[in-house]
Amino acid sequence: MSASSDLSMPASTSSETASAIKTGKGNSSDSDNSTSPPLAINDLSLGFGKQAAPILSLPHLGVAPGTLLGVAGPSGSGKSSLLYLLSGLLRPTKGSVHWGDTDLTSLSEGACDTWRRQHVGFIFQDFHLIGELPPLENVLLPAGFHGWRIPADLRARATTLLDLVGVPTNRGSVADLSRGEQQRVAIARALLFDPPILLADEPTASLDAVAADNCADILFAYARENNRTLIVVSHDHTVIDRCTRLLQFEKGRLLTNAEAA
Amino acid sequence: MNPFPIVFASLRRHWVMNILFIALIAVAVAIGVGITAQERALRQGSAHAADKFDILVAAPGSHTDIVMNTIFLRPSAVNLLEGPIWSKLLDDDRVDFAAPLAFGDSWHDHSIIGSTAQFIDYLSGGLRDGAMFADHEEAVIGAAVPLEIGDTFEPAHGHGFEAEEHHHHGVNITVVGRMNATGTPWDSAIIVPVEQVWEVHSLASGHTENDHDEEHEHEHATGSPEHADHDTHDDDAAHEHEHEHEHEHETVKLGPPFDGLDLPGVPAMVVHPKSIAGAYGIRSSYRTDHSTAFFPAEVLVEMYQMLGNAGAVMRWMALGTQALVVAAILAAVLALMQIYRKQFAVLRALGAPRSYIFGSIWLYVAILVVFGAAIGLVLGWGVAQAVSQVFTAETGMAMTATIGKPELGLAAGFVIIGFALALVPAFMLYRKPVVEALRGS
Repeated sequence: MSASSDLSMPASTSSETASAIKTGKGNSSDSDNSTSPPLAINDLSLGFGKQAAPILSLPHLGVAPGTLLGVAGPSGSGKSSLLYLLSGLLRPTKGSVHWGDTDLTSLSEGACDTWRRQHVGFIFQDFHLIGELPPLENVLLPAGFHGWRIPADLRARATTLLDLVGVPTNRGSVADLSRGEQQRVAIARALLFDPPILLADEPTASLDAVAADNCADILFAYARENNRTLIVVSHDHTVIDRCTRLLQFEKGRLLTNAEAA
Repeated sequence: MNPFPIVFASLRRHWVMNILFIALIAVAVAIGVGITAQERALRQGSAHAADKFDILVAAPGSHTDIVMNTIFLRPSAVNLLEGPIWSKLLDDDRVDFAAPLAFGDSWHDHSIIGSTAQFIDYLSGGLRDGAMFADHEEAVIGAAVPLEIGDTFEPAHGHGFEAEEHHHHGVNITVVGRMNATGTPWDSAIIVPVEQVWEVHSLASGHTENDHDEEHEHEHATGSPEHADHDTHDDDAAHEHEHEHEHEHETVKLGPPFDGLDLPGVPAMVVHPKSIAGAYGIRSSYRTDHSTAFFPAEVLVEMYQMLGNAGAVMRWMALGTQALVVAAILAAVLALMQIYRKQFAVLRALGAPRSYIFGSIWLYVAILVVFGAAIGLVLGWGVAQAVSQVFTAETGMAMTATIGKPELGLAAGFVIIGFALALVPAFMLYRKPVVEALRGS
């Protein structure tokens, strides 16, 4: 699949969806998703228990909007924990995580859920789709978190997203799809609200080389062309090589923080 | 918030287990509903069976035995109420209607009861087919007796195998009429003139010989043309002809008035009083050393109390079963939730609020409970109906199991308890740390 400008949202659909979100139709939000907020981490530390050594320590990190950030390192080095901290799913032992003006560590759990829904698109290694639902319903699943009825324009956007990632909407259930197709449905689900931040945890680890390349193309093209911040944890060079910046972790400490060549 | 896509997906994913959950709930509810509905049907059926039996007068003995004999046609040995006592009832000013009931014989397990034509009219409101018996060897059958008008049968003494094999009376009785259906055990009964029962047991007929003579004297006195014609014959011929004529027109005396001086005993008298005050008066007057009088309702109330106690025990057992089922399902759902925890953690990562997770799990369990309870309600009603039909077939007592407030209350109670218990897995997963579940630990 070509990862080119055809992955950017059609202007009308994108603006309609943004309008629907801002006016409270479907999924209420006060956010402006047109630009990604900058990320600023200060004196971050994550540990379990007061005596134990932190499993992740990050004195400072700044990420500009639209950065395609790769996070690499051996298992247990704290890569996934970083993603959870950046999405507000984990609270740091100390330090702060700022996305623009929002300090995630100061938000209540409910507010953090709302912020995450409005700002973050999550992609997992194992897709975590609902196998009994068709692709379209999987993509629309986050729309049901706060609204009873799904607005027509959001449904149209989900259809367009599926079309853009190359998965037909008329398939019975996602269980019938190939793994590559399933991950593409998961990507479409993450993009439903056009989030300014995309977090991906080993998105290609469960795929063969062709499917991995395909998914990476889609994800990076979307982020690049829509100026979205993409933070992707991966061991896969297919993915890492596409990043504009790379963080290398080992034993919970940042070893390398470098711009890609 | 619309958790239905997740809930329906969860229901589909483990559909075998979910069907088992629903089946378990349905059975638990059905047991309770079936017991309650059946118990009520039994009460209503038995109360209906006793409707026409306002007061029973019998020889002193067990009231329950008398009720079982007279209303439910369950034969047992009872003492006989002496003739002079029961004949007084027929002339009692407080009595609107009274009839003797004489048991003891049967045909193919259908009780043969000796009584009067008035009793048949009173019991079934007339005949559906045929005519009332007019002779000792004629019978009127209940609506459910497998005989046709014109059929003959040979009654046997007693009931069951012994009656069939060894104790035939050697009398053939012809069916002449069929009663309307009453929805009581009497639909399976065969009613013959009480005089026939006395006759086959070699007892007095209950009528004086003068009854016939008086009737003939009366006929002669009317000076009918036939008798006038007889006078034209010579004496011998006239005498011979008169005997033939007497034989042809012999009128069989059946029913009241009876000869109070030469009257056999009967097992019971059914009495319909003219008034409530009269009913209590009769009940009081006939409670003596030689007779007892009572309202069958009194016995039924006692029986209902016993039935109620048994029913209460069964209901508690059903409740215990339901509690066990709920506990088992709860344990299974909690185990199932361990499988779902990663799915719900992913939803949280995608932005689902905790309330969405809580609502989804609660709704999932609630749907199982509601479906199970609804199916259980129908199943319980069906079982109660089937049992009622078996009871009806065996006793002749019309019983219809219905779903009433108690059954709906029981099912609703189960649903409410289920809703409350559904909070447990919902709350447990609601509190589960998301990252821990995402990591699959």
